Amino acid sequence: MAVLQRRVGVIFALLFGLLVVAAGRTVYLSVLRGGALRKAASDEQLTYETVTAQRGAISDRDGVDLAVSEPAQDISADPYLIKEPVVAAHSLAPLLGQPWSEVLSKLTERAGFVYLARGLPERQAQAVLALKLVGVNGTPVMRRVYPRGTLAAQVLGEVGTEGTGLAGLEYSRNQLLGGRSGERRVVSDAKGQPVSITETHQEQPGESLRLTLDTNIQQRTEDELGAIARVFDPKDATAIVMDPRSGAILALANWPQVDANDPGAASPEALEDRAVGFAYEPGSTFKVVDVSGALEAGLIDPSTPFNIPDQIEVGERTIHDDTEHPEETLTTSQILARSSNVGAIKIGALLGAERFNDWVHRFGFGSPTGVDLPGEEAGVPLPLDKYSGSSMGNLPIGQGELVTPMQMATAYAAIANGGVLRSPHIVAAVGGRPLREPAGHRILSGATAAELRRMLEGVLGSEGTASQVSIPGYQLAGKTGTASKIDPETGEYSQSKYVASFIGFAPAKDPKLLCAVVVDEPQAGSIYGGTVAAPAFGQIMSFALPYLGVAPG
Amino acid sequence: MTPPAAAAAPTVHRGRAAIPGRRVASPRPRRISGPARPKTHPRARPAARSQPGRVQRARAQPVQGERGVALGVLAFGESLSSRRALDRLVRGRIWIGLIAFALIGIVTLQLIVLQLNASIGRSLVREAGLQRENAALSIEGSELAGGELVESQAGRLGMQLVPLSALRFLRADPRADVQRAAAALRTPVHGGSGGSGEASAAGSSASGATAGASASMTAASVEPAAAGSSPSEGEAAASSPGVTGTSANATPQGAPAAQPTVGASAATPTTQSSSAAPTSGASGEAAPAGAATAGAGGSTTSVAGGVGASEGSGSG
Repeated sequence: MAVLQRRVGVIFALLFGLLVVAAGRTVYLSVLRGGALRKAASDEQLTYETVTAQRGAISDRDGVDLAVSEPAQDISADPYLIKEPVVAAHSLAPLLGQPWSEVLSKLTERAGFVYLARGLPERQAQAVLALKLVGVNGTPVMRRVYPRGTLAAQVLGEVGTEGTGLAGLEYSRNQLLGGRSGERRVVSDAKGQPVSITETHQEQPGESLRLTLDTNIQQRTEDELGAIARVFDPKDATAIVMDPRSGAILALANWPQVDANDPGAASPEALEDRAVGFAYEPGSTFKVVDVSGALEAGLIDPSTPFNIPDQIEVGERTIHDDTEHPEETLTTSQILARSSNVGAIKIGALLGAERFNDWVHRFGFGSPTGVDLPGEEAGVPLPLDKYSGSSMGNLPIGQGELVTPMQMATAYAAIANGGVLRSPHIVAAVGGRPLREPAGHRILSGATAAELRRMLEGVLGSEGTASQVSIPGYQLAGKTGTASKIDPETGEYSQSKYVASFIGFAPAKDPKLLCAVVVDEPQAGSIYGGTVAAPAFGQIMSFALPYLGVAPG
Repeated sequence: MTPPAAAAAPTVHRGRAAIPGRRVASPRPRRISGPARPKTHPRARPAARSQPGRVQRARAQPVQGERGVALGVLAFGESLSSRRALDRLVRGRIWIGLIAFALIGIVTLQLIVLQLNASIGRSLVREAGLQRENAALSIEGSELAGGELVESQAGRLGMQLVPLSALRFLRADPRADVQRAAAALRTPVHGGSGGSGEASAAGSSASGATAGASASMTAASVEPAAAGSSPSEGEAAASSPGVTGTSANATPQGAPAAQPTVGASAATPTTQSSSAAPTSGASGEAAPAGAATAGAGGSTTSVAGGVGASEGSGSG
């Protein structure tokens, strides 16, 4: 019995000893090494993944995608973990699409982290990660792709490597397009299979944008600007096609072209959307302002005759007509059709500086049009208190004030639609919800607008400055403009730098489409709006009118 | 130290016959397991043991205040432990099965949850794949919609662009056009030339035929200008030098003489090429001129998608 009790005692002592050891070990693991072990376990099993929000797509009015986001990966490396950088560079270079030497230099950097490639398409990224190189990792991101390349590149803008819009609509509508990234808590088992997935923050995809642009008209417009560039070698050019009734922009093209998928290759000037960012002296296209004012004030009518000499003195300045001619009598319509500077100045003199200035602002010059595009300039009309004795000699003919092509297009749209000045717009719907069209306000009576339209038909008539432009079946109306530019070196008007422009609409009696073409510094061939810009207007309209189903008239 | 269930409650076997060879529990009350009861309830315990019904009576008696209610509940709870029915329920063998079932259920549920999580992981991977595929298709769709590609594809199908300067519009004369259209109506001859349909040469009197444009790149309304039916072309375009050629209008090959009508909307606009020809090798079924056949159907070019119905050769 005593032996038995001793044995029991020994066994008990043994068990108790083991229990003490176990307890000690428990204390050691849970208290002394608890923090490190907990971290190791969570690193091994628990991960927080960022769920990148899909950036909203941008499409044209027919749903053709112009900007799309696709999954991609940022490929990074920890050079300290790369055992054989030369071999790794050989493997990675073709998959990354980079020279071997470039990859090698990244892999041998004395740093713990380097990007090998940003926004690598998912398929390529998977191929890289399939190499299972220690120290090479991928981070899921979204990559912005512009399937149509150069099409409307300045309008769409660009997205940076961090997924933020940097220019164009991508910038101005970044908050809508970008959405909000989410976070996911993933617990994995020993094999790396997820055993628990929890959304800690729900991601919110970006809203899509549907534009008023029409890719076919946009393409044609860009083609025509390209054609102008080939013939006249300008510094740059821009064109706007608009529905004057609603202010919807159907095309907005800029030259030089920019590849939206590679904006870094373009110059900063080329990235600018000139339709809203280029302030220029409009020249003769501005003559409609004082003619409108004088018509509306009842000072003139289309048949009012004016005695037009070859030149006129205003203040200390002498202003000539474009071509020498004997003194003649021209009606208001003829003054517009032939783009007589002297005639426009005489009409301006009838109107007076104050009323002229009022009409400049009534047409919206001096303030942004309100178009939903970023970077819009307000233009610089001369303040009334800064008018000199000769100001009414140059302002009515479009010299001495700065306007943007969008402002000019908007002003002509008011004439075309019967007298309502309306903000143009390019975004038709956000997230599938149509946006309300801008209401606008009346600046001209319907009768005055109709008279102006009739007078502007004459510009494309046999006597007009754009007589060579016609479209079978359609009556066109518009105005040419050839403006001298200030030479920055001399501060005087240059004799070699001009802005050639044409703004017109069709059908003249009931306009459905408006097109403005502005060419900055044409170098070769011609400098006149009638020969540089007007033919492009004709080409664009001759395509767009039948394309949109506008009945001839 | 719970005694075996069989021994615990003799009343369980009350209705059963005695099984030979099996130990029968002694009829005397057995010791009930559980912690030793404190001796601090001298009144309640004997009452609960000896007179179970007394608790109910005590509960029935009005007790002053919440404390009395609580004490009553406690007393009732205590009395439950000594009840036979509860004893039988707790010690029944059915619990073995129930607990086993519950344990198996819990393990199964855990497995299902694990499987679910794994499938969520797979779904996420699939979602990413589909997202990628969707983006790729979207990009491809946009690229395929490019005008140049469409034009080159159409060219490969034997279609060609018509210069815009070749388009002319005719004036509408509803009365005359209807009469001529009616006169020119003929049964279509099948198996003809061209694309989807067939041009019926409407004889010498046919002043126009509008192609149905099903396969035509131009929405080709084909207008054979018959002898004597010279359309009035106040708007004739060929002479205008301003606008020439790069338009996307197209006409089917093999129908060089066909006069494509750009058309879609109202009955007024009709275009025709400068070279008149009586028949169409083009697509669509020929219709008499002036029949105001909209020709926009299958147009693939922008021009073709556009303006209106063709109409007869105006003033003739």
